[in-house]
Amino acid sequence: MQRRRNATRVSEQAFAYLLLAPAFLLAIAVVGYPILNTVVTAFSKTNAVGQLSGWTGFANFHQIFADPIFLAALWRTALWTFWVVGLTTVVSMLLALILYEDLRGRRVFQLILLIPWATSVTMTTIAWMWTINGQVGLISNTLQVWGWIQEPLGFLARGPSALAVAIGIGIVVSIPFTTSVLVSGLNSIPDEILEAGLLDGARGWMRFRHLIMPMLGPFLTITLVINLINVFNSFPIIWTLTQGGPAHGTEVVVTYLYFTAFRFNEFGQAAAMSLITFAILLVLSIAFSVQTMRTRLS
Amino acid sequence: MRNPVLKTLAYAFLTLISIVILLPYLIMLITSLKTKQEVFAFPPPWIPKHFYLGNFVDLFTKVEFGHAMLNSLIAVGAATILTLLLAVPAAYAIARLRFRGRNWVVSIFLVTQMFKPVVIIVGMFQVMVFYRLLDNLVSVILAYATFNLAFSIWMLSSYFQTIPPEIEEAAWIDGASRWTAIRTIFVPMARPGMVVAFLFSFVAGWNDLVLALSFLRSSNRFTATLDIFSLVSGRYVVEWQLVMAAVLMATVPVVIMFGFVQRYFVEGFTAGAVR
Repeated sequence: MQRRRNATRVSEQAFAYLLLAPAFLLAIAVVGYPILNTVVTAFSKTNAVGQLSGWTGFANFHQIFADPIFLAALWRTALWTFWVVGLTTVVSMLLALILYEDLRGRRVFQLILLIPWATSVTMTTIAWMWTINGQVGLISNTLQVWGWIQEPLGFLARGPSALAVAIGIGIVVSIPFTTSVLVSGLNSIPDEILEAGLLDGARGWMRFRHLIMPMLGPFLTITLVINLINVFNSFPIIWTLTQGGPAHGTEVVVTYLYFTAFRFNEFGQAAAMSLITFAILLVLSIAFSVQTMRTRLS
Repeated sequence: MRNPVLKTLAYAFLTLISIVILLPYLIMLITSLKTKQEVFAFPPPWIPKHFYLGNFVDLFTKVEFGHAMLNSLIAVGAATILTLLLAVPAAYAIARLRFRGRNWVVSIFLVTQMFKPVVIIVGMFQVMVFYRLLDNLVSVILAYATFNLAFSIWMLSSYFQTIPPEIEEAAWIDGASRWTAIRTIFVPMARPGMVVAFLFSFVAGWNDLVLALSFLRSSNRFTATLDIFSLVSGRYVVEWQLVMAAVLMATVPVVIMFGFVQRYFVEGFTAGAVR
């Protein structure tokens, strides 16, 4: 009997590995191998089509850390991530608290939130580019006709204002996911707790601070970590809007990485930037895994 | 919310956010229904004189956008089917079977989900050159399938865990083999989860820019998203009325599709927080 159970245990294991193998093989061929390749490339000399021609040690890293555009992009990535994630969280928290109330018309608003969520970020960015277009845009020309502005809108002509537009778009596309998760977090709070709180006189800020916030904690963490990783990695908004320009004024690490590889053909330096990004992401990912493991597998 | 001041503020805030969200899509719709003369007129009219549908015709006759839509459909469709073919067995193993290293498998998939394609684009480009798949739709098919694997396996395995294993076990007792039980009992019960995974993978692939931008070179192989991007990016003269019509065509079906499954997406993320 004991032997038989062991045999089933073994065959169950073999069966599991058999089922997992195809997914693993594809992941290794399409993601694992490129990761390895990126690591090797970061320490290699490369030619114009990205082929390797010998080791260079840390030369690529020395070069990118001596490059003021890269250092500026690194700092800008921090700013970009901070503002998008920060403002998204504040706005979404307000929206979630409003949508949690039994207000007329909240279903309509939830449907409106679906639109930017489902639309490709590239498409949303193109729609915004046209919306704020200075030469022939509807808003710009109408404001000029009304005499509210003298010059046509020119947000994308300068780095700081173009970055502000990118941050705005980043917030709009991040709000739907964040709000939905926070709303389901609020819905998961047992009514008894809030009713008991009401009897004890917990209202308004008190209720939010001492009853709602502690219960909402895990949901808030999930949105923060996922938004942090997504925004930090975000390529299409800035690439579509300005391709990192004007004069590298909106460059973040991932856009500069792309530019370095596919416009400058400096694959070695781009790979080095990837490794820097890996390092930062790994820290964020581990934080995320620890959080999910703690809540899911407990 | 009984306080009338708070209630008014709440509605004002919702209205403001709604306007900000809807404005570009409204202008998109208006622009797609205008003639070129109307788009470039000054002052520009907010409401088109007559709803002009010629842009949608021009998309297919002049700029061959139909070809790009077809490329997207082929690439994303093939990738999504491949995702499911690989993710369903893997998710079944994670949900049902006991094996050594299960926690490792789960966490490896979680970590890979954090890597966006752009971060390893240099390596992926070199590997596609090595596989001789550059400028071939197969490159994006493989890439979309892989990047959807993690989320699909994660989502499917939590769905599979909600199906009671006793039903399958009862079938074994009745003499069915493991495979027959999976095929006749498990798969039909798991179908709703698979539909959700299918739709998500589809939407994710459809919305990709960076992989198509890096791997596809000839314009007759462009996906819809890449095609629209190329009509706008780095151009001095943009035919906005055509671009907006194209964006509408590429977006509306996906928004509707997403509307059906959005709920499950949030549940997938929040399930961990509740348990």
